[in-house]
Amino acid sequence: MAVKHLRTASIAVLAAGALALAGCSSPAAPESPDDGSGGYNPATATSTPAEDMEALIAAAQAEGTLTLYTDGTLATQQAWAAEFTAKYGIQVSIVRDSGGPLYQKFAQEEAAGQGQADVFGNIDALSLDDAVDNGWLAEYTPEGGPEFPADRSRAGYYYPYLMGNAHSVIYNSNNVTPEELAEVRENPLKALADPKFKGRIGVCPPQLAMLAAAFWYQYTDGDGAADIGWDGLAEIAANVAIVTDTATLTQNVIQGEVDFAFPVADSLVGNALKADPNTPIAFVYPAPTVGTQFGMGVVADSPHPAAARLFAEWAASPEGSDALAELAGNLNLREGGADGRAYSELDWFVPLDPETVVNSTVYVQDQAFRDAAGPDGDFLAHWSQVFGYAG
Amino acid sequence: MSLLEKGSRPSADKRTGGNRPDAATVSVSTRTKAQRRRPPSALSVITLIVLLGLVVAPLVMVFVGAFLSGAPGLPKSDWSFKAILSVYASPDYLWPLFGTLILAIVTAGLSVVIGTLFAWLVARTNMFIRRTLEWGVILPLFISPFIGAVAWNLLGAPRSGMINTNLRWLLGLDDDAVLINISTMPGVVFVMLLYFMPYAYQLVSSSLRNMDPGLEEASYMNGRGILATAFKVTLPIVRPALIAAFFMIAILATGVFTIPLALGVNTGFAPLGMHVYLKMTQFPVNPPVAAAIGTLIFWLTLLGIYFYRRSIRNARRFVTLGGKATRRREVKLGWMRIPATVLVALFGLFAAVLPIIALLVTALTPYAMTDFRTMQFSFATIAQVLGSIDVWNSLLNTVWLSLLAPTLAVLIAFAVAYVVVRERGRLGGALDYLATFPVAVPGIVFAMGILWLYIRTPIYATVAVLTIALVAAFMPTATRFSTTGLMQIDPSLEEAARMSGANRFRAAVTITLPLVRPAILAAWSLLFIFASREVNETVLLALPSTRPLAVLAWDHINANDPGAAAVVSVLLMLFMAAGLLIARFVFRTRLDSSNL
Repeated sequence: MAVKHLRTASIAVLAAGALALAGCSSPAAPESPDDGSGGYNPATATSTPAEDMEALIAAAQAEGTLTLYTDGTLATQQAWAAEFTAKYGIQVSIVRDSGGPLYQKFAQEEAAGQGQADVFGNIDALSLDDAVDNGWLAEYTPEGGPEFPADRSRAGYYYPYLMGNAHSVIYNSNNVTPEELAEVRENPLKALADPKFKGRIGVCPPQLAMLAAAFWYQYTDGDGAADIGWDGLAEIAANVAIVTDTATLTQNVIQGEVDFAFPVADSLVGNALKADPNTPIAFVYPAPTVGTQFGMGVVADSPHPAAARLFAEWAASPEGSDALAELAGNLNLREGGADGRAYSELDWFVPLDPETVVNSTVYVQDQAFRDAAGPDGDFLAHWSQVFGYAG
Repeated sequence: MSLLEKGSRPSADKRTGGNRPDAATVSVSTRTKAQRRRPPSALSVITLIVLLGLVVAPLVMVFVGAFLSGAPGLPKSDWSFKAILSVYASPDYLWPLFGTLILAIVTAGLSVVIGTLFAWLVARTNMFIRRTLEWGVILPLFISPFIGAVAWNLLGAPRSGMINTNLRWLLGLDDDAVLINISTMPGVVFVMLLYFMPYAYQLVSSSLRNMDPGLEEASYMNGRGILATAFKVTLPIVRPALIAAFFMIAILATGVFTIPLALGVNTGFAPLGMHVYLKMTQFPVNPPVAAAIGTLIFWLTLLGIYFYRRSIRNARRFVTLGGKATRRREVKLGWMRIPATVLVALFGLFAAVLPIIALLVTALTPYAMTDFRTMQFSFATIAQVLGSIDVWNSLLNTVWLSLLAPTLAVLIAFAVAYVVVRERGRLGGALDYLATFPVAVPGIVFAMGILWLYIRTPIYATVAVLTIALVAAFMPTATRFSTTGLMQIDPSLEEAARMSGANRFRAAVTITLPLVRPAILAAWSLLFIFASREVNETVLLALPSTRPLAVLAWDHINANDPGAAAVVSVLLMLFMAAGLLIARFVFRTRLDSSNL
C-alpha cells in the first residue's frame, strides 16, 4: 500500500512539475517581419524617408493599435495619445507607472520574450541606456529626432520627446504668506530649515527615483553641500510632516495638508494648472537643482512595429511635440518648439537659471553617485535615518 | 431533518451542554484506520495537482526569486544569497517584524471584541433598526480597503482633512486645531478595524445564529442574568468562531500595505507588507529583497495558519443542525438601547457613509477641495472618466474576473472539500492545508510569484492570468464555505444513491451538489465582491487590456488624480451592488451574516 501511495504522490509531483515547467517555457519566437526584398520595410526600418511615409502610415493603420509604456502623467498622456488616434485612427493603450517599476516590468517582459510595449518612455536615462544595451530598444531615428538636444538623447535609439523639467520647491499659494515666500525665494532649502515651518513641509525621498536621489545628493555631496550638508538636512527633517512620492506630495500641497514640498518636478505644477488654472499651487527653483527629460524610443520586438515607428515620427514632429507641451503645460525640448508653460506668464514665476541646473545625464555617468546611491552604498540609508523614513 | 451520528457523540454533547433534544451534532474528527489506508481517488490526485500548480508553484517561484540577484529571467540575474542574508541575517527587519506582529495582534484583537459585541447586539438584543444597522456593518465589504484608506485620508488628514477643516470653522476653533489625525499608527489601526472587523462580525454572527437558542434559554430559566449567560453559555459556544476570526484578521493584517501607504503615515515604522511594496517600486527596485521579505512574512503567517486551522477544526467538530424549535429570547437593553444603537450606527457612518461621501465630493470637485465654504462643484472629472474607453474596458474586465474567478474557485474548492470531508485520509489533510496556503502570503508577493511563473506563457497579458491569481487567492475562503457546507450533508444520502446504481460522480453531482448549493452560492457571492474590488493580487499582473476597475482606481491614485479614482471607485461600488442584486434574483441568494 505504501508503494501505491508513493506512486500516487510521484505522479502528482511530476504532473505539478510539468504544470510549473509549462509556466516557465518560452513562447515561440515571433516571425521576422522582414520580407527580404531589400526595400523599405515599415516594421524594421531604422528611419522613414519622406517618400515612404505613406507606406508607414498604411502599415501602421493595418496594425490598428499600439501600447505606450510611460511614466508621464496619465491624463496628459491619454489626451496626447487621443490626438494621435484622431489623426491616424490608431488606438493607443497606455501603461503608466513610476520610472523604476515601469522599467522592471518592461525588462521582465522583454527578457521573457513577452514584449507588450511598442513605445517605451522613461524619465530615467539609466534605464533607457540599459534597455539599449540589452537590445530591447530598436534603432530608429525619426525625422524630427535630431531637433532634440543631442546631449539628452541617445542618437538612433531614444529622444526626449516627452518634455524636460527641473526639480522645484512647490507651495500652496493660498497658505503661504508673502513674507514667507520672500524668504523661501532667497534660498529655499535654507529657509525651510527654520522651525517656524515645522509640520508644513513634505519631501520626496531619494528612494523614489534616481533623479530624486541626485537632487538630495547635490545637497550632501554636490554643489549645495557647503550650504546645506547633512546637518542642514537634519534641520529640515525636523520640520517635515510627510515623506512620500511626488504625485501624493503635489496632491497634499493642493489640498493644503502641507504648504511646501520638494523635490517635485515643475512639470507636475504645469499639469495641475493645466487641469484647473485656479489650483492653488506654484513653485520656486532651488539652486542648485536637477533637470531631466522623459526619453522615449521604439521597442525592438514591438508587437506593432509600424505603429510604433509612426508614433515616434509624430511625437518628434512639431505637431506632436507642440501638442504635448500644450496639453501638459510644459517645456518642449525640440528646437523652436512651442513653450506650453502657461504659468511662465504668471507673476510668481521666476525662470530657471541655466547655471544652477545639472542634468540627470551627468549623474548617470557619475560613478561616485552611482556607488553611493546603489544597493551597496550608504547614501539612501543615511537619508532615511536623518528623515526618520522607514522605506 | 437527517442527523449525522458518526464518532463520539458523548463528547459532543458534553461540549454543547448535553441536553439538546432538537439538535443534531456531528463529529468528523475520528478517522478509522481503514479510511487512512484507502488509496487516493482520481479526484484527490487531480485536485492535488491543481492545487500544486495553483498555490505551490507561485510560492516556490517567490522562494526562488529570493535566492537571485535580480528578477527571475533578467539577463544579469544569478543565484545569490545576498537578498536572503540582507533580510534574515540583518537587524534591519527585526523592528518591522516585531511591529507588524503587534499591529496584526492589536487589529485582530480589537476587531474580534467589537465584531463580537456588534454580532451579539444585532442577533440577540432589542436594539433599534437592527436589519438596517447590520447593513452598515456589512457594507464595508463592498469597499476596497485601499479605497477606504484614500477616502479617510481625505476625511482625516490633520491639517486639510474634511473633518478637521470644517469642524474648525463650525466650532470656531483655531486654524491649527487638529481634532483627528488619521496619518498615525492609531489611524492605521482604526482604518484597518473599519475594513477587517466585518470579517469577525460575519463569523461570530453566523455562529450565534446557528447555535441552539435552547441553551441560552435554559441558562435564563436557571436564574442566570444576561451577562452571566453571555459569558458562561454564549461565548464558550462561539469561541471557535472568535479564535478563527482572530487569526484570519491577524494574517490579513500581516500583509497589508495599501492602508499605511494611502494614509501617508510617517512614523519611522513601516509594516513588512509595505517594505515588500517599496522594494518593488522604489529606487533601486529590488525584487529579490521583496521576495525575501515575502518569505519572512510566509513563515510568520504559517504560524498563524496553524492556529487558525486548529480553531477551524474545533469549530467543525461539532457542527449543529438545529431544528430551532425554541424561539430566541430577545435581550432587553433598557437604557442601553439608544447608546448601543448609536454605537453600531457610528461604525456604519465611519466605515461606509463618510468614505462614500468623501469620494463623491472629490469626484465632483475640480481639484482636491476639503473646505465646504469654498467648494466648487463640476461634472468635468466624471465626464472625463466616463468618456474614456479605459473605464469601459476595465468594467468589462471586472465583469469577466468577477464571474470567472469565483466560479472556478468554488468548483475547485468543492472538489477539495469533497476529498477532505468524504474521502478523508492523509491526502485530504494535505489538500486542506494547501488550500489555506495563499492566506499566508501577502497578495503582492503571491502576484509576484504568479508573474514570474507565467510571464513566459501565452496566458500572460490575458485576463486568464489574473483569474488564476484570484482563484488561488480565494481558495482558503471558498474551501472553508464548501467544507462547512458539505459537513452538514448526511453521507448516507450519497450512499443510498450509490446503492441504487449511481457512480460516485453522479451521486456527488445529483445528490450532494444541490444540497450544498446554498453554501456554494453564498461563497460565490462573497467572492464576487472580493474579485471585483481586489487590487493586491492584480496590480502587478494587469495591463491596459486586462485591467479591472479596482486597478484602474489604483492607477489614478498613483497618477495624482484622486478625482478620477473616486469616480472609478463609485462606479465599482455600483457594479458590486448591481451584481449582488442580480445574484439575489437569479440564484435567490442573499448576502447577509446568516449565510456569509
